[in-house]
Parts: sequence; structure tokens; C-alpha cells
Amino acid sequence: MPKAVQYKTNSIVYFAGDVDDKVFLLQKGRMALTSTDIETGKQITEYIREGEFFGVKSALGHFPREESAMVIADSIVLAFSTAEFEAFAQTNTRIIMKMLKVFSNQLRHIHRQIESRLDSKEETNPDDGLFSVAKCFYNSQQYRAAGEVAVRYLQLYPSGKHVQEVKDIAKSAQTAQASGRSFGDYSGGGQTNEPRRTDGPVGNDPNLALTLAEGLAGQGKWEEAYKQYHSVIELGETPVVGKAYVGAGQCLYEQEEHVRCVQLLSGYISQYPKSGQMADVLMYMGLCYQKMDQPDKAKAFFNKALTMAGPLLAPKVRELLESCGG
Amino acid sequence: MSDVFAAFSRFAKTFPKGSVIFSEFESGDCFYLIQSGRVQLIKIVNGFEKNLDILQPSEIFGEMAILENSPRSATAIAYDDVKALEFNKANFEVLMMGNPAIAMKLLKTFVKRIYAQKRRFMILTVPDKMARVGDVFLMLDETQPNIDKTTDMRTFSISMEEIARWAGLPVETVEDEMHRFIDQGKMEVYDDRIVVKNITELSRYVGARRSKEA
Repeated sequence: MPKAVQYKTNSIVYFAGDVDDKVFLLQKGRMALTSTDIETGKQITEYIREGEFFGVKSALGHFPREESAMVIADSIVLAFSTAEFEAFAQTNTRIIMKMLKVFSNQLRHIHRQIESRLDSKEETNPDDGLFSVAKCFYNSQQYRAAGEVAVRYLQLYPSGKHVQEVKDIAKSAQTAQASGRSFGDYSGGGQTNEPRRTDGPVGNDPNLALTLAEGLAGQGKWEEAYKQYHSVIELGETPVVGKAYVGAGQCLYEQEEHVRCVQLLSGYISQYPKSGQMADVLMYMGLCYQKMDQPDKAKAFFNKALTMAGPLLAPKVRELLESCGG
Repeated sequence: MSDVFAAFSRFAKTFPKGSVIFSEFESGDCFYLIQSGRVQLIKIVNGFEKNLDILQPSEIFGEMAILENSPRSATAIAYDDVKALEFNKANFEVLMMGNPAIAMKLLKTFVKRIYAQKRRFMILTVPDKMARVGDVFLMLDETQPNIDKTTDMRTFSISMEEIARWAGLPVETVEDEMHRFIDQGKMEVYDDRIVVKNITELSRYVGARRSKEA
């Protein structure tokens, strides 16, 4: 149970530098916390009001007190042990939420103070930084990590200045992993963690090309994205060929190459009739026919797409059907 | 904590050993609570990986993502097969209100971070460069576990580049100041370690030169 302690005016509850695990609640009276600003050396005074906790950070973190707590008016203070405070706070979550807000502001503030002190040369452009991470892992033969960071780079910066080098890192990392050459994961082992897929030529990775394609498509670079999607299609039956066809179809549609799009996707439908991507494929077929002023065909494809569409795609297809008068 | 993991299993994500949870310099808005396995935090310093920490189950990481929109300050890699709960800004408050155990854990994480950052800031405010370099060693000493307190001699496995990063000084400047420490017989520098001959004396030296003015 927390202990209620009475303090007379001008008495000290604790001094800066003291080490103890008590958390205090000012029940009645008035307190001041005095500390020294790290940057200016000036004294800072903070006043504690009734109902407020103090001494929380140093108690929870087991650090010496950063401030002195002085009684300004006769006070009654409840002294919790850390365990008692934790038990109490967990039954009053709003107390923790309020402290989280206060502490997060303090953390933001100190971060900004540090940033303002550091040499601006230390700031690295994220494009360069992410590349340096991939390169560093690759150089230290952490191929899995290198490959994964490289893929993230390509997703975030498909037109970044290090794209070619990162692609090389990604391909080399995958080759190295496939051949079992890995200096290891951080446990220091010398083996890969899971068997690599061997479909498709090693070093010509469909996942990598697909990632690049998606990044380019996301930027509206349809022609370049199409080339990447097409390179995946050319690899034949891989787990991502469906996505590549949908992506390629979208690129052709966006470039108003409707006939080519219909031809491409018709080929896909006949080759992979049970594909999980069929709803998207049928939707793009419908869109192309709509643009080619063939609303009946468009409606037919939209209706078919609707029978296969999942919850995310279905509303879109319904809208398209309505736009056709369906 | 096990009931928390059960209640929030829908937020669970698995990361195979060696996989990258997030990379330094990536943007991110998720933080993680480790359910099982260990996570290694790595920072790239001058082209080399520096191990920052290895986190254990029930520890939180990535929490700065919910405070500000800055790129990640380190890479988090699954040291073992890792299972972790992934939370973001959107579900943060709901999670905290419904889970005082996690909220308290996050509170303690913030406390640790605040103290570490304040200590780092203290180094940066030392105007005298030699004393600032000395303060880096004092800070490292404060955070080293299992120190043999029967002696004032301390050994640190740290590079000049890392000292420079902590001190916010160019590496060349740090090397110059380290030479002064060596010339004065206060330190010895080897390929793989730096020895501080007397940590108490170093503390007095730094304290005397720590000015109250910026």
C-alpha cells in the first residue's frame, strides 16, 4: 500500500542525484521540482499540482534523480514503490496514457536538440542511406539481408540513382544464397535459412522484376513497367506470372493499347483458365472493350469478373458495370 | 504477457531468422512487441555494421515511428525466427487503453530512451573537444554491464568512427584528441580496444571542463 507522508514547507522530498525507487503523488499542498538545463546550465523549475505524480522516470528507469523535489506549502505526499505504482497505473490506464504523451513529447524534444547539435553532414539522404545498407550487408556477405534491403530500395526508389547497382546486389545476393554461399545470418551460421526456389533461371528473378514493375507502375511509368512485367511473363510459369499479366494488361490499358491488351489477356485466359488473378484480368478486358465502344462485350466481361471478384475488387467492378448501363 | 499475445494474435507477424524486419533509412509507422525469438538492431557506421543491441521477447522496438515521421535509425533483423506483434499509430491508442501491460512496457521503453538520449546530449554540450571525447567513454562506462569496480581501469571495444559519432566531431578531430590522451598517459589504443587507465580521474577531468554555457 502506498504510504502517506506529511512534509513541512521548505523540506526536501529528494535531491538530484539520489537513487531510490519511489514514485510520488502529491495529494495535498504544493511542490516544486528544480533541475539544471543540460544545454544552458540554467535552473528550471516545474510546479507540481495536487493529483500529479512525480519522480516517475527515475524510479521506473532505476536512474538517479535528475531534479530536487522541494515542498513549497505544507503537503501530503503518497509514496509508492515501483511495484505499487505499476499495479495502480495498470488499473487506471488513462494515467499511463497521459504519461506516455508527456514522455513522448520529451523524447521528441531531446531528439530535436540532438539533431540541432550534430553536424549537418551527418544527415544522409534516405535513397543513399538505404543503398549503403544494402551494399554494406552485401560486402559483409550477409546475403539474405542484402537482398531484402535491395528489394525494399527498388520498391521505394524504382528510379533512384542507385537502381542499377542495387539490382546487381539483389541478383548477386540471390545467386549467392541459392548456391548456399552465405556468411550467415546474425547467429553466425554459414547456411541459408530456407531452400531457394529453383524455378526460372538463377539470377533472373521474377520477384525482383515484379517488384520493379510495381514500383514503376505506381509512378505511372507504364512503358517501363510493361517491360518489367513482360520480362516476368517471358520466364514462363512462375508463382507471379498471373500478377505479371495483370500488371502488363494494366500498363497497356493505361497507354491506350486496347487491342494489344485484349490479345495479351486472351492468351493468359486460355493458358491459365483457373488462375486466381482471373477477376482482374476479366476486368481489364472489360475496360478495353468499353474504350473500344463495345459496351455489350464490356458488360459480359464485367459480369464474369464480378462472379470471381474478391471483396476488394467487387465494388470497383460493380461501378464499372453500372457505367456500362449494366 | 501471454494473454496479450493471445488477444492480439491478429497483429502477429513472423520473421524468419536473418530476415530484415525494417531497414535503416526506411520510413515506417509500425512498432513491434517481440513475442518469441530475438531481434538484432544494427546501424551502418562508415560502411560497417555496428551491433546496437539484441532484444529479447517482450521487448518493444521501432517505437520512434509512432512519435515522428523520421526514417528508421537502425536496421532490425530477426536474430532467431521471430514472432512479433506489429502495431501502428492508428491502433496505438486503442491498444494502449485496452492493454495496460503493454502501455506500461512502452512507458518504460520511453524512459530508457529519454535517459539514453539525454546522456548523449550531455556529451554534445561539452565545449572542450578533449573533454567531450572523454565523456564518450564515461557514457559507455555507465552503460557497460558487469564492470569490475575493484579497479579504475576500463577497456572499451570501440572504433574512432564510433567515438566520432557519439561526440559529434570529425574523425580526424577525435584522433587528435585521443593522441593527447595517449601522450598524457591517460589512455592506450590498440587495434581491437581502447584502455582508459583511470575512469575516476577521467570523470573528474570531464566534470571540471563541462561548462554551463553552450
